[in-house]
Amino acid sequence: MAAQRKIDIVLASVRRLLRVGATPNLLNLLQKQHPVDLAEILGALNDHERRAAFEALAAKDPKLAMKALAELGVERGAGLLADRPPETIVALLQELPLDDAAALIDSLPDEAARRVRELMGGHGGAVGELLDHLEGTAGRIMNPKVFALPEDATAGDAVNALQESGGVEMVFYVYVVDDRRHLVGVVSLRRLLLVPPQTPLKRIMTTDVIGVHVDDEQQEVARKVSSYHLLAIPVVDAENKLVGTITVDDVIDVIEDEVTADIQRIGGLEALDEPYLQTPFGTLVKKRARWLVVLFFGELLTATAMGYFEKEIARAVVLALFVPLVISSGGNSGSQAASLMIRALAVGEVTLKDWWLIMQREVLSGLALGGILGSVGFVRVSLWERLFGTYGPHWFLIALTVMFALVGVVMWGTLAGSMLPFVMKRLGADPATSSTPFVATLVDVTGLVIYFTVAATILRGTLL
Amino acid sequence: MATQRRIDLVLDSVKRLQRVGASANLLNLLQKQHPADLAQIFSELPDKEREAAFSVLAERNGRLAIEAISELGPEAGAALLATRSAEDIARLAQEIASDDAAALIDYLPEELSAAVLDLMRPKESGVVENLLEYDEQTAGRIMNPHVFALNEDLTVGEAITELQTNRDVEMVFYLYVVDERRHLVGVVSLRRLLLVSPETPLKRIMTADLISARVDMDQEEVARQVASYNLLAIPVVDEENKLAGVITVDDVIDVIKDEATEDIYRLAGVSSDERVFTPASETFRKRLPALGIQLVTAFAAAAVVAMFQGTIGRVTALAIFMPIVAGMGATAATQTLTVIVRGIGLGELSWSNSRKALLKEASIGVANGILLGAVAAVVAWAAKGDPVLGLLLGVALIINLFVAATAGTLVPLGLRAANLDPALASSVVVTTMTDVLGFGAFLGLATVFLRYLAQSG
Repeated sequence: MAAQRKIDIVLASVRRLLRVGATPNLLNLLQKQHPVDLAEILGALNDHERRAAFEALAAKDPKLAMKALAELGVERGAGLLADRPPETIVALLQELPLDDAAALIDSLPDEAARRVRELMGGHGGAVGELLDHLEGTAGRIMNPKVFALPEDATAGDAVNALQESGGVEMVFYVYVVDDRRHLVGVVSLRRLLLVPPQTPLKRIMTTDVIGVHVDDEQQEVARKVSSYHLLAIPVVDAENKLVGTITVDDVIDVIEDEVTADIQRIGGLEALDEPYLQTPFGTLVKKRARWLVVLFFGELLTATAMGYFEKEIARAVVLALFVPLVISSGGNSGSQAASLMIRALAVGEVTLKDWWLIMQREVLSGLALGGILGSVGFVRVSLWERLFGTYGPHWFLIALTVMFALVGVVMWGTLAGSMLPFVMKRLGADPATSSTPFVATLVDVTGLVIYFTVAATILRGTLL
Repeated sequence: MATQRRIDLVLDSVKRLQRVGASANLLNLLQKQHPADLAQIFSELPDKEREAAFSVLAERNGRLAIEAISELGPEAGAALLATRSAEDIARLAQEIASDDAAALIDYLPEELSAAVLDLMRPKESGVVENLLEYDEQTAGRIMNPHVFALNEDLTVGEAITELQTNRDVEMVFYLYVVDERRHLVGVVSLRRLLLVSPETPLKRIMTADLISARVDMDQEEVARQVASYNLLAIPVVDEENKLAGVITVDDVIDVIKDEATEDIYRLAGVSSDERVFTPASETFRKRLPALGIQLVTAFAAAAVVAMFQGTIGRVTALAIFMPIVAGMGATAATQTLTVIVRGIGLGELSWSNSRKALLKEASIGVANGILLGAVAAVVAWAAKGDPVLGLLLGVALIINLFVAATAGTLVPLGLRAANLDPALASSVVVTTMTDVLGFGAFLGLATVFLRYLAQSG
């Protein structure tokens, strides 16, 4: 990747310049970088270097420094800001859009956050309002500075207003509001260019505006922006008054965060809040240990289950040989089904009311898959008996046991794996909590019971 | 979700209108919907009703019909499209952007797609065929070749006039600037055009340092560029830096979702194009290979166990704890694989910074192993009254969690370094390793220390 190499080269130079204390050259180099690349460079430096580089840049080019800081992620960004006087923090925060500033303030230590909000005064009022919205809602991530015009404005007025509003970033749509700031329409920037300047906005605006409510969840925002292919979505309050906009770049962040959290939950760990390499070791252990310990106690039940069949195992040690086979087949088919359902529920392909239909399909799939795997298992046992005489006189019954156990376990795994996400959702939990390790452990325990019950039935009077 | 409820209402009306055969009212209702909503309505209708509704719409409002189909996704969309004649499909395909048309046509049965390409206007079928020549999942395949480009010598005023005459180019927010040989030299945002006087030359206000993608760039990399630089669109250039197309942010969102789905499925051994409502027979075919491979690898684990059959015969209690060794190894491996595969997906991890990740994972594996190994040892000791058995189980768990962590890190990073999808084979390979090495360690140790173990019978 060429982009990665370029950053590595810059990174090496930054380190060298920091070491020799060549600040002017350092600044020169840093100022040439895109904020996103700067954030990556800052992220790769050690704490000491990062602080020094940020100090130097903040003194010379606060806007760029703050843009990079915002890209660095709120936790580490706030960390870089925290140890300076509140007045300086406020001055630096003024360089950022309000939504980014609010996110950073939220991550500052409580005392610092309070002082900063006080000092921000009127400006802080807007930031404070943002922070009053619940985390994970549209209100929290919207930008309250929104480009809106009255209904009786003309296209020419809009262009003029746009020319004067240097500060509003990323304008793609002009929102039209009535005299009480109710959202009544939207005009795309492009449409403005295509009509004569004296055209009233009322004539060219779309009145069927797709918007979200401040209390809507971020996922809902993401779903609307992506399915309607929007560049920005207006946010309204309970009275349909326009209070902000959310742009598509913020939506992409929401989508990526949601996806990452989902994948991590499916993998059986609590979602990490920061990039992998930046997550401290202790956090990484903690986020996994909880599930690992819970599942471990689940796994201990396998010993309990097998304990019931200890006599059978002692009489027919051959049964132990197929334990790995039976439990991994059940676990795998369960994981397959669970992943499918979790993703389908997440992207809205299925809803709770589809559970019955899905159960029928999954039972059939499980039966078919179990039938095939069971036949392969049967052939494997018979073949080995032919070739090596491994299983002795009762090989046929052993083969039958393996086959029926596989059919039962795979079907049960598929069924449990597909239904658990629905149960979670019904209980109000995140379907992704029915992680693949969770399903696998559940199926391990029950699968063993199925296996030994089948064995006890088929082998009674011969091996057992 | 309010929208979901609204869609359910429309859906009910659609079904009712179909039942009573009120085509005119049906058409009226369908035409009022947004293509994205129509797609959802189509997907929730039973097969026959879906075809009927699509057919009504396709006759009267081809553009809306094909836009809705395109929102359905290429596979489901093409299946529905294939119910029409080649002439119809060709007519409909000309109503949407060439990249969307190419995606649909690519999924049609081969004979039909050839017939459709023959029937399309030569200019448009040429564009579609060109797109289909790029490899799947590359920038060239998903770009829109109708890109709005302006010559560097134009002024802002002339640019605005150009824009006004090219009304059908979709979603223009960046204007790309090219030289007389169509090399990409700069970019101007639509907004910037409004802020300067009409006689300003584009050359003076364009940004020359712009981020672009090569036609053969992997779509995942394209998505990463757009997401991290907060772009609304990225221009696509060929080997000579000539402007070939543009990829807009809405397509990037689709790529991000698809890649995430693919990662999740592959980690669980599901084929990446399976969906919940894929026909049962196909679902069956798609899941079988992964399960079959797992079965073969499980035989490998069984073979390891068979090596120690004599030991198990003498200490039956060993068999009882075998699932714990295997289960914990698989769980720990899944955890590690998940963070590593996602880290690679987000561009945070690569072979070059793998040492740090490996160190971290290995220590976590050992730390968790010691903790859980100790608990397991005590439990086994208490249950079977044999401290040696407990000790062996504890040691086997430490070894297995260490194997899970190192293999879980190295296998996906290695696959990536070899230019393969890191999610693809990782879980099969890694769980096989934990099974084989875990059982090997547990039963091997038991064989070595057999005379210290309480023997049954």
